[in-house]
Amino acid sequence: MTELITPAIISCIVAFFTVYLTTPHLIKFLQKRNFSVKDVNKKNQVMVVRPGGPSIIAGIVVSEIILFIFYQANEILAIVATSFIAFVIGYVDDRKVMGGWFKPIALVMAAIPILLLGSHDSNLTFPLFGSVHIPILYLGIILVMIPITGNTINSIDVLNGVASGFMIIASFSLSIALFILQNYEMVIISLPLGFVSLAFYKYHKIPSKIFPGDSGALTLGAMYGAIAILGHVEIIAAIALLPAVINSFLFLSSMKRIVEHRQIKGKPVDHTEDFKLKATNDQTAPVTLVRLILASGPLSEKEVGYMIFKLAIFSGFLAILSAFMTGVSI
Amino acid sequence: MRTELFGFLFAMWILIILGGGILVVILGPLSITGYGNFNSILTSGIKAIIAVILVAVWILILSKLKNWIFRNAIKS
Repeated sequence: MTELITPAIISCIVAFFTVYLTTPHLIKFLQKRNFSVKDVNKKNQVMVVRPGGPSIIAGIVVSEIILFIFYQANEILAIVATSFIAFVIGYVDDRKVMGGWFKPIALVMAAIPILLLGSHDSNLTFPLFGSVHIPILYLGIILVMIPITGNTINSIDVLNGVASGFMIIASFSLSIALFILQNYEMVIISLPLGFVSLAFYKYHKIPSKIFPGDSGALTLGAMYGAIAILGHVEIIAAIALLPAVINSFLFLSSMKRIVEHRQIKGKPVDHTEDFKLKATNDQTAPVTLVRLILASGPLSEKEVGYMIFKLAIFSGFLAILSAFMTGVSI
Repeated sequence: MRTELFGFLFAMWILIILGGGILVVILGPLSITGYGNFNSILTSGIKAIIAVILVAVWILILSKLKNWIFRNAIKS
């Protein structure tokens, strides 16, 4: 385990500083080309550039390649390839508005490197009860998991700093769970995700200087899903992601179909006179996590974001608890 | 409402743990024999069908739970 410490430290530093140093240049580049959108939750006409995906993928690729130099594991290649394909899919959606089904279907392709490199297992492990061997069914899980994690993170990217902040909490919880399960190689491979998110949060937190866009959110989500599969912690990863899963679940169960946010006419959230967020009574609007948080009264954008972070910390705690329970059999 | 969200999260977690238990107990030992080369395909197919049914039941319970926990607030 001690031989892993040096590459771990180097890759984490590289992951953090690649994003930290490239994002300001990306912001200037995007400002020059006027790639900006209105921040709808600000009182004045505030324009924010997007997408931040290029700096996020740069941080992931560079740090994981450094890890690959230290030890050649197929898992690293699979994670880099999956994240990169997700980035390309997201970038296409950033540049050209695609239909609601584009991302879920296209993200299936991002899962293919995991299958081709054969670095997955065929067992699904549950806390307390042990594992179940499902060789063929597991292939389906791999193909479904990446679209789910990618789109789940993308769907929670609704307020300043939420997607990157949420990812910091979820990914570090997952790394701790992998450590508890003594899967040290995957701990090292997973850490750059947390540090990339941390560096991006510096520019994404309220008031945002840049939005991750689909390319950024899908990259983070797809890498998270790939770590879950390759680390054999699919269930624990799903638990750490529960607030975002709730958001997708509420959205889908109220809309009854897969639809892009921009195609929805009803507004789930509106603003008070002092520009706090408040839930609307619009029956045609989807039920979302933010709408539920606001159901008991208006809150500022920052307060809603912190509430989502509290939920993420709670689910991260449940994920870590589940990791301890995985070692126990009843 | 904000406290109820933590309750909903916790309920989801319990459902995942219990659902996992059912999967391991039911699907784990399942094995079909007597069909030669098709044994593994048949076993996997039946496991897949049971898993899909369990997921559908899980979503149904979650949906009921959501309505029960959030009651009127969900339509506010």
